[in-house]
Amino acid sequence: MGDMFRSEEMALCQMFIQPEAAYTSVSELGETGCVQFRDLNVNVNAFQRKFVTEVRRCDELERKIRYIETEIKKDGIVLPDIQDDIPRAPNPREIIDLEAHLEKTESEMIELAQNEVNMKSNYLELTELRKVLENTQGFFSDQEVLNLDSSNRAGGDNDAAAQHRGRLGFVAGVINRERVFAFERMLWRISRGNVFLKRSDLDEPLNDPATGHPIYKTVFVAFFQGEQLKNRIKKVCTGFHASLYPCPSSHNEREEMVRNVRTRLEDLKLVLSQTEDHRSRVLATVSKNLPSWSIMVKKMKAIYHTLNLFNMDVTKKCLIGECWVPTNDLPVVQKALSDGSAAVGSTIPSFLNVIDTNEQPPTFNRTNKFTRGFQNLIDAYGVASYRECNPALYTCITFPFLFAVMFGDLGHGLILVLFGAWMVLCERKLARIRNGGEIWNIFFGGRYIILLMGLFAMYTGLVYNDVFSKSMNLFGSRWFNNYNTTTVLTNPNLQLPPNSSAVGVYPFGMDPVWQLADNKIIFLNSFKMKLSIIFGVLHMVFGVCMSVVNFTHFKRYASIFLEFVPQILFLLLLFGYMVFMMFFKWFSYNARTSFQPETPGCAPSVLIMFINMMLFKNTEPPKGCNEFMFESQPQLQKAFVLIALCCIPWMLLGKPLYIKFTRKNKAHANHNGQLTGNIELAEGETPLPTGFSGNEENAGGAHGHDDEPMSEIYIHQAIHTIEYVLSTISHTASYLRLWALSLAHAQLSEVLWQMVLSLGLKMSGVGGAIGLFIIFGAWCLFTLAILVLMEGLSAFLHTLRLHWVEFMSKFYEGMGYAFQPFSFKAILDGEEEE
Amino acid sequence: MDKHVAFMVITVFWLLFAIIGFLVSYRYEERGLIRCCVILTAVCCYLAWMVTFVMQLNPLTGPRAKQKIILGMITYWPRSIIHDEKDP
Repeated sequence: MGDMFRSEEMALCQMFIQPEAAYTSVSELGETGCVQFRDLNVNVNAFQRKFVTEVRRCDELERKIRYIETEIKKDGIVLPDIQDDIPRAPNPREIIDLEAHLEKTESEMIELAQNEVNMKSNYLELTELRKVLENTQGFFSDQEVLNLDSSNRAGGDNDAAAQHRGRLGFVAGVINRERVFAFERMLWRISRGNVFLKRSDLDEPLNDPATGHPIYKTVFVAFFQGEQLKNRIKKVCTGFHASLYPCPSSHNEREEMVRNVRTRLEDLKLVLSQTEDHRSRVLATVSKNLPSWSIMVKKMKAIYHTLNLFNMDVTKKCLIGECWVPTNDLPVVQKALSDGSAAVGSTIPSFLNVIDTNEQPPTFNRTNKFTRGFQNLIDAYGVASYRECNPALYTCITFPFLFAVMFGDLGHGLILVLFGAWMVLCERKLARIRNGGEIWNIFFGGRYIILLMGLFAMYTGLVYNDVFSKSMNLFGSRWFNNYNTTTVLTNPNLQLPPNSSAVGVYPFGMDPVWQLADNKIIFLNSFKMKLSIIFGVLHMVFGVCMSVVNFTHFKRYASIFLEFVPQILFLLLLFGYMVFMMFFKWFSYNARTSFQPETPGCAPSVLIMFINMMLFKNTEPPKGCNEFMFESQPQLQKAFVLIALCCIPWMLLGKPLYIKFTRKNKAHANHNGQLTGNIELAEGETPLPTGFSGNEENAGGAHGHDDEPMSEIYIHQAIHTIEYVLSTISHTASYLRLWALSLAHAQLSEVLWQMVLSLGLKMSGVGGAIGLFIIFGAWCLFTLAILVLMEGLSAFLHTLRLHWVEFMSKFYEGMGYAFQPFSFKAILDGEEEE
Repeated sequence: MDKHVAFMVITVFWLLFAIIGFLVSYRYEERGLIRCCVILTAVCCYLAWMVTFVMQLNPLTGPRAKQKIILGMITYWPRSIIHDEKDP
């Protein structure tokens, strides 16, 4: 046996680690990934554990790494993807260096960000000021014209009035464009129409220094009279978040100011670009190392979390951990502990004790890249009980084969093979795809399943002789026409008689004539139904036989006679006999015989014969035929049914009576053991400390029937018996889905041929060529989308059910729990998936 | 006669497939897994072929075809003939 047949043997180990070597030892164990630690501090809450401080330090480091990562992504720098050369957990000196480095980098980034925001604010203000100065040129020219007009209109009659009107005040600034209209209305109201506002929209958007978003703004100048009105206007400007800027009214002063502002803008732009360059350089430098640092910190945190599961032994000054280890990996664990101690030069070695326990260990099935997909299929139903038979071993072949029975088509199978082979041959490259999506991950994880499903589908496609619903005539059809000319020409339909139009057997697969026949469906239905039942019964018999292996391994020998024997008898005497009748009919009845009862017209229906057998009924055969296939068949059938019926109370009562009997024997032995009573009491007074109440419950569960009352046992066994008897019948019928899906697949394929591709082939001329091109594309699309993807998924799910329910219910308990080792690889993969 | 030859050839093929696979598996570390896969493949594939073969051994009914199919058989399949003798 060995590989995958049952789960690995597991050992509960106690390890004693020196405190100075604890970190490095756990680091080594994390690299190996074959140890599952138990939590020895269940009663201590998370914040009171020994290494909480260290965990918090790791959290802080992770926060800094995330901040820097965000900044890197903001700048569009691509982080290198670490595939090979994954760094190990850092040692204490490296931790200090790493902390200092991250601290320095984060501070630098924060400072740079702050400086940049400040400088961008200054830049924005100067830009706005420049816009104000430039755009107000027109405003003031207009004003001067206005003043002149006033002066001219006044003439010399009233100089005082002219002087008074000339003293107009103004404020200039910039406001968001979307607020201009509200701003204008507000100014008009507070001044009762005495404010004159001129505005000009800026063509280019300005950038918000904090967010970097573009903002459209408008330059405005408000002219007014009097100080009081000026104060009101300034308040309104503040309320509308308008920025006010000084603006001299004379032309020369404005020109001077514009020049100064331009100079300062250019200087500031230079400083800004230098700051950005510096930031890019810092980020580029850090981005080379950041993935490594991220991995190192994750490993560090995992180590400290694991150390929190340990007990601190104060007297011996060492850390005590308990863990499950596969027995085959004990040398690996020993070596890891030695390496961990050697790394820090510890003089006292850490060591490992194997402890005997009644607890049920976790279930661990060692898989490789080929078997992992199949094991995942089985584990999705339930994780095997410890050391139970693992159905994944046989599922490697039965799963793709049963899928192929439903999906059988050489062409569609070839598509699956090409897809699966591509994923398998390029798997090293494709494994690096991180963001392929959940669907891609499922396909890639099952690439070997897809490849095998395709290969077997090609094989069953050959057996069904079906290539996109067409047949191949490889060996020459064994059917031939031997009607004469008149008969052929005068009859629109002809049926070839099997006694004179057939010679021999088509050597491999279905004869191609059936693809052309009108009664193809009737014929193939009969064939595929029988094929389904044959495979179904064999699959179930195999499953029941697996229970013997389990009974033998767990030393429940009585169950072989009390459970397995009646189960297999029930299955074989009824449904095995049905399979026998199928084969007998195929061999016995033929069209060439001269013996009347064995001609095709007399061939009885296997199903009706089976039903009559169960119901002890008779059917009147046609004239000249025998009701039964062979002599003594009625007596044989009666015997089979009666024995099968006897198996039911056998299953029902055998095991409970046996348990009852063995219990009475035990009670009797205890009664005779009066002399040992004192010893038993003595043992009871000093029970061995189990340490965990939960484990006691598990231990109790492991012993099973010893504590259950008899009524529970009877009820349990009754349920089991009813379930088995009924499910034998319903599961046999359930395997007919192999026929149903195969029929559906073949007919859909034929519909695509009849309705889509053959239409294109019937066209002619240039238009026909173009039409055929388009129709072929449509045919390909439908073939891939419907027949390969949808039908493939449907066949996959039905195959899954046939394995989970019909096969595994015969022997599988599935009440284990999975072995989840402390493994850096698993932790990092899990993090990446998030 | 040729049905027996076909039966023997296919049976021997899958037997050899199983036996050779069994022997080849010894040079690999996962010999249990390989052996199981090889034997199961041989059994499953052989059963699928064998059921199909046995089912066609003594056909109880013949194919019913349209006239153009019959004419196509006569044209393309050498065993099919057209003649003027009495129907069998």
